Amino acid sequence: MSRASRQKEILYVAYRDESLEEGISYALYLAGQMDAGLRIVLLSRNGFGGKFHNVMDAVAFAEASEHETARRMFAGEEDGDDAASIQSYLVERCSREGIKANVHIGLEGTVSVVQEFLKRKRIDLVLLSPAVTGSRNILNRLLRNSPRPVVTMSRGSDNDKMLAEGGTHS
Amino acid sequence: MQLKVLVAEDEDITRKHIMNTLRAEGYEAQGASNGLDAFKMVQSDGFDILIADVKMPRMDGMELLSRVKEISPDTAVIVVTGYGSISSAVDAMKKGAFDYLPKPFELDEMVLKVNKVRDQRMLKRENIALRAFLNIEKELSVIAESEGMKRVLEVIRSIQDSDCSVLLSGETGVGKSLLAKVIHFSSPRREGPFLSINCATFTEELLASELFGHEKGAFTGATAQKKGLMEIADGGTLYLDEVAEMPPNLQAKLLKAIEEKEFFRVGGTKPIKVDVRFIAATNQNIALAIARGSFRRDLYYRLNVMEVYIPPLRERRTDITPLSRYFLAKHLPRYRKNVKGFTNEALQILRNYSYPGNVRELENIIERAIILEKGAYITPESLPQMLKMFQIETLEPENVKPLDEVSREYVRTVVEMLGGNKAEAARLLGISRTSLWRMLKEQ
Repeated sequence: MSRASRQKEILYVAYRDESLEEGISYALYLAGQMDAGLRIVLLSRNGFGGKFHNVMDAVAFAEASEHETARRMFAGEEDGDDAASIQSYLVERCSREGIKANVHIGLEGTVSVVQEFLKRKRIDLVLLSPAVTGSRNILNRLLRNSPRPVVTMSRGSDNDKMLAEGGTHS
Repeated sequence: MQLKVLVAEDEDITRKHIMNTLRAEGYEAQGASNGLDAFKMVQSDGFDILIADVKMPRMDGMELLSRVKEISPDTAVIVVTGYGSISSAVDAMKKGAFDYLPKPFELDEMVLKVNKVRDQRMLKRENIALRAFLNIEKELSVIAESEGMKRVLEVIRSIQDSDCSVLLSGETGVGKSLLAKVIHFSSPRREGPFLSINCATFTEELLASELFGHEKGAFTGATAQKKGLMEIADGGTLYLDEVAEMPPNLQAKLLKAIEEKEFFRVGGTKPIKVDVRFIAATNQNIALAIARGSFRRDLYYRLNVMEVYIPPLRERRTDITPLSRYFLAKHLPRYRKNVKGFTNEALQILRNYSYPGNVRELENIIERAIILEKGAYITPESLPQMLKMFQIETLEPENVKPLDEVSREYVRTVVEMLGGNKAEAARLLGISRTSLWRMLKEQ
């Protein structure tokens, strides 16, 4: 019998075209605080699954044995946007901080991808990147459907303003 | 408190006399006819007291004493020395024996020495229980400033004379295990053991073995009999953390054990009777787990005679300042720093943050700040950059509120925190006073 120690897991949801460094720094901080692993899911801002012509394009490439191109299209990769390199960068970045991480590319819309993860994996907390937090519609739908707490991040906390003031002791 | 005594004596008649006398005194007594067997029994079963004759085949009493002290330092060893031998008595005491009995001895004299061990054990347990309770009381007087925590403590105080099962619910890091200890140490079972297990940490087979123990040969790798936590917790409390993660098969076994107050070791055929109080904890929505069919409703009702919900730290912001000061005092001695307190700005940042990791996260932040701080007060520079870069909010899906409402509530909290100073609140929030007035007026 082998011991399977289950670590807590944070699902970090971000868009591939946003500044990843900004949000991932907090995700890593929080994972460290909670002694948790990270499951990072990178999404295309518009999703892929719902776009019929995109699917047809990818299928056409696949039928022409252009499998790599088809795979990239299914992964929603635009020119110069290499999902594999982003994945390996994030895994390396997390392991440098001593955080165990899995990076996934989401093909569907944000809400359905998150729901799928919550259904299949034992997620303790959902963390939304600043860009995902900014989309009210998505945020409200996620909150309606998530069985776990959802942590949102918005840029520029009010604390910055406060720090400009003089200091007193307590 | 029934202590287990092992009598290691090669003379059958003497051994049986000692065992019968001890059983009549209320001890659980077992025997071994040689030192090696006695050592194996201590190794596999664990004993509170060992009475060992110096002269025995296969391993003498002195070697047995040394080896038992290596594997089970808490076992009190009474060495039976031969023929008025002072030197072997002195030698035994040097090697860590609790006491010695020179041959020939009266059975009453032996009982007195065994009772001395029992009394010392009870006193030690009472002291540990009392110390633990006093420490926890001290900690709680600090933690429970908010109305939410005061309510939690009221519930806990109301059940302190009861023996009911308790289900603690709350997010990760809110302090469920600390409260479980409070419940145990303020209960009539306080002198009994308090054991805990995290149900999410083990595979199903291992969890079964940890909870119920196993017989030798029950599965590959079970080279010796092992007692489970249920058995060891007899007379005390067993804390089942993350109980909603327990596999369904084990839930059924646990339910049966709770209902019948007896269970079988893995691979065992003999029922073992126990008297254990259960405190369970979960950070999941257990109602949802029941609805999904992953948690048994009947087990939920068994464990949930009393449910205590511990609110997350963001819902009891008035606890943040006293908790910060408490953690500062707690960790300061370890780092030999001359930190006297916090700047108001640092406290403001701490109060503004929503702590997804709850109290545990706050403690980590304070400890890190102590290490980094070079001055006499914790400043914002010693706090994690993240707390200043982002506005972090933790939202609970079950009571979703529109963002506008969340904003309004946040504004109200800030105004309250500043003692009603709206101008200061508007400045801190980075909005005009007019906007603030409008937000406060909106229903």
